[in-house]
Amino acid sequence: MISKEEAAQEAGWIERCQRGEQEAFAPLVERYRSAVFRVVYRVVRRRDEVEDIVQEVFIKAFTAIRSYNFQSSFQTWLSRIALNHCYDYLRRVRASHVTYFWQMSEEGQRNLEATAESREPGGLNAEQRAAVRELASQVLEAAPPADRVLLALKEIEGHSVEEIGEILDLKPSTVKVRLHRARKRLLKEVSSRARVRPGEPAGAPRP
Amino acid sequence: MRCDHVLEILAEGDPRAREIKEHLAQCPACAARARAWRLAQAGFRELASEPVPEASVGFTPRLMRRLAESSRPAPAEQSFFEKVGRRFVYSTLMLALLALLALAVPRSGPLRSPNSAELMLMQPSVATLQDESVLNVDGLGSHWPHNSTVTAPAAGGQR
Ligand SMILES: [Zn+2]
Repeated sequence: MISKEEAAQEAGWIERCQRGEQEAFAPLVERYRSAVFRVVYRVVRRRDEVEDIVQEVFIKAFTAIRSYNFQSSFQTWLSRIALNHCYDYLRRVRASHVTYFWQMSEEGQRNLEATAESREPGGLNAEQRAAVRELASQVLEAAPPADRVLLALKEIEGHSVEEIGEILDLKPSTVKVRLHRARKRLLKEVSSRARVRPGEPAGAPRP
Repeated sequence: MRCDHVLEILAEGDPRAREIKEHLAQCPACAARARAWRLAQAGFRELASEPVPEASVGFTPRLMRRLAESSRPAPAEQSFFEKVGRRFVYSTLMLALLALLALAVPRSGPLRSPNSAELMLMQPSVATLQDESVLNVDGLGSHWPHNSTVTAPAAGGQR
């Protein structure tokens, strides 16, 4: 949350940008840079690409700044542009068949099975944590771009359905339906990759 | 409770939901699925704690330079020009191409219209044009799937 003075200052910068004054954009970039890095990294997950993408996002944002109408916060508006851009990026990467698909290593798989069998999922050791992280990034990588954006916002960033709706400019009910579908696809993917042995019932009461 | 109903409940997000406990205790397949889901959720928590990369030194000046290079003339006029100008150039090119085709047609006999093979040759370029204008021209990238038509490509089938 930013203070009243900061908000007034920010509105001034934005209005100047809307009149085409590029210099007024620099302080906005400084203020929101790390927020945009965060959004982009959570969705795209490629360290070597993030900075370039963030630059493109800010250029897009400046080009479109006249469409900002002060209804939502500037950060929300920027996030929307960033996510749209990530979505395009992921689609492009997919279309050019540069998918970074990798199989889980033997060791990772073993650790995952050990994790699945451990009584208390809270107390994971370093290898098990690496294994579940590997699993999660694999299934995200395999997900369709639109799913990936939603899942990153919900499952990683922990945003509510309402917040996601505001960021993506969608009705919460729409977000809910899409998230449900995305999770269903994810569930199938995750079960096929995790190869958790059917056996010990997960829902059984534990000591 | 049926397995597909369990999947619906799992997709609501909670692998420990009360109403599926009984089913999970009896159904190994759903239990495995619920457990895989819990593993994935643990993985998402791991991803959330991953440090986010930071901007390298000189990020903002570099961006401002790019901005200055990319937006002459002023941004609003540029996007307007892009929108109208590019389409104008392409349609002029198409017209020129058509004129050439008409000229290339043998003089003997009545002037025929391009046959279907020629049309088929021309259509892909039209399709990519439309595609491009749908994808790139609007500044905001407002092609985020809004309604139920999620990622249907704008120019798919030709007829
Ligand atoms: Zn079942």
